[in-house]
Amino acid sequence: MNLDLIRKDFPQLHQGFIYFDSGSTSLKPAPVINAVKDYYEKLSASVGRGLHRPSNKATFAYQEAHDKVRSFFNTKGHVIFTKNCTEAINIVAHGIEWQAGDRIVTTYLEHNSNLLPWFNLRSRGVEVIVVKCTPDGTINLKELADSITKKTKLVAVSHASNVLGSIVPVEEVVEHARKKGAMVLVDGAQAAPHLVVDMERIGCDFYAASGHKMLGPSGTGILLINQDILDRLKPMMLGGGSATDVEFEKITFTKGPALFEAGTPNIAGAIGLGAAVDYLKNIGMEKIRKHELELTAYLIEQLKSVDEITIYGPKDINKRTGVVSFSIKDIPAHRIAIILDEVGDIAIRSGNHCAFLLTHKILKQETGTARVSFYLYNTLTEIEHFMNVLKQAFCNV
Amino acid sequence: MFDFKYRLIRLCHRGGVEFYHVYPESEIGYLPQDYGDLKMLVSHPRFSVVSFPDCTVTLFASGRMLIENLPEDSENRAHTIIREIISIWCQSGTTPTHP
Repeated sequence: MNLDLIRKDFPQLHQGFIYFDSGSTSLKPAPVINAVKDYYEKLSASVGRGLHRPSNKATFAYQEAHDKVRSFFNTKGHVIFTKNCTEAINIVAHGIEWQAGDRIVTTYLEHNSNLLPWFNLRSRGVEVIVVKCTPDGTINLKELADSITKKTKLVAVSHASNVLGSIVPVEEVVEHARKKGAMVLVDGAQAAPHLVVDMERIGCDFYAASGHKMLGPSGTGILLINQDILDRLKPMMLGGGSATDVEFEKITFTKGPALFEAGTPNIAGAIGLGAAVDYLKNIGMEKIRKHELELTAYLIEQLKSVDEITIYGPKDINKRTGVVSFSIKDIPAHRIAIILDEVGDIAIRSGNHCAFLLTHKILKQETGTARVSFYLYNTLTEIEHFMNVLKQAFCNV
Repeated sequence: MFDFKYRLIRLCHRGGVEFYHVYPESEIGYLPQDYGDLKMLVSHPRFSVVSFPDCTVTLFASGRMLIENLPEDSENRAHTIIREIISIWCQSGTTPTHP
């Protein structure tokens, strides 16, 4: 992996700023930016509607982006483009026909995106069981398995924590769910950009991901649906493209995943996402993973050398992604972040990371944590600068 | 007192405690070293942390501030604190570069 060449592809890296907040959204490489620009300059037309050539070309490019994503995740299932991972999960929450007494099993590890849509169903009599995790982000799989009953319709888990970076053994979760006939949704927002994700191997029913966290444009997300499940799901929105015929008495709905992409979609974003997936594939997810592990190991080693710092997440480096949450004595996380920004031109994330149950109930951090999150374009030199600024600003080192 | 224009951004709050981020429209370019009756908790060449009776404020020469641990719905109080800090800034002997 040629880091110098990769970094040249990311214009924002040349603004003199260190970007350690890829867990929120990733930077975009030139091929993605150019793909979006090209659409607006050369292909701008709606998809699936017109007979004119620009519309045909846009349609083909839009469909091709779906195919690229399907191949990236190694799935024979359906690919639905959404505006983000949150929308992808909400499509499932709104799409399943819930009955009072149905059970959903989820965990303390979850981002609000994979918690609030389920909590919202409690008003319809759906029971939501939240399985605990340890402070290092390990889910108690026995407790999870015991929570799955015949009444469990869905198990919803993260593939990797956005706070702790801990990787969840989702294949095992699927195995437990299958024994009781429950469906499984995996929130892959923090895993898809960083790990080799093989939907066929995981065997889940739904896999949700954020396009914008994996080099794609803002406003892009992905919902992968197992082939056999699609017909059991009702669309959250209806509109253009949802029906092949409409009469007062009868509506003939569109068949297939297009039913879940009502209205004119984010065409430029989808094409950009296709370019992002190409970019990641060309480099290779194994190489990206290896690079991020090297960065993560180095940062943890450096942070450990400072007494005032507490690091969160798994001790075994292989069980985590490139996310490292930490705190410094009793200094509020937001203060750490704003000082790093002002003094060191370093962007990190601070606070609760939209995972309140985890930061408060498990980590006991009322003001949350400071979080560094890496991607393929980060370097060891950036970590050295980060550590120098951190020590000078906060520690008597 | 000079006209300090800024955006006040309320950050996530929890357990009745709020944080506010003060983002100036133009850079001040100077960090006071004397905060009068207010206790300076941290003095660093690039930032200061000052204690108010009801909160803590981190200040930068840029004019950015982080107001920490105010009670819930304290937007008016945040504006008062900012005015107080700017008054100190003005009295500190150096006129801000971009009033």
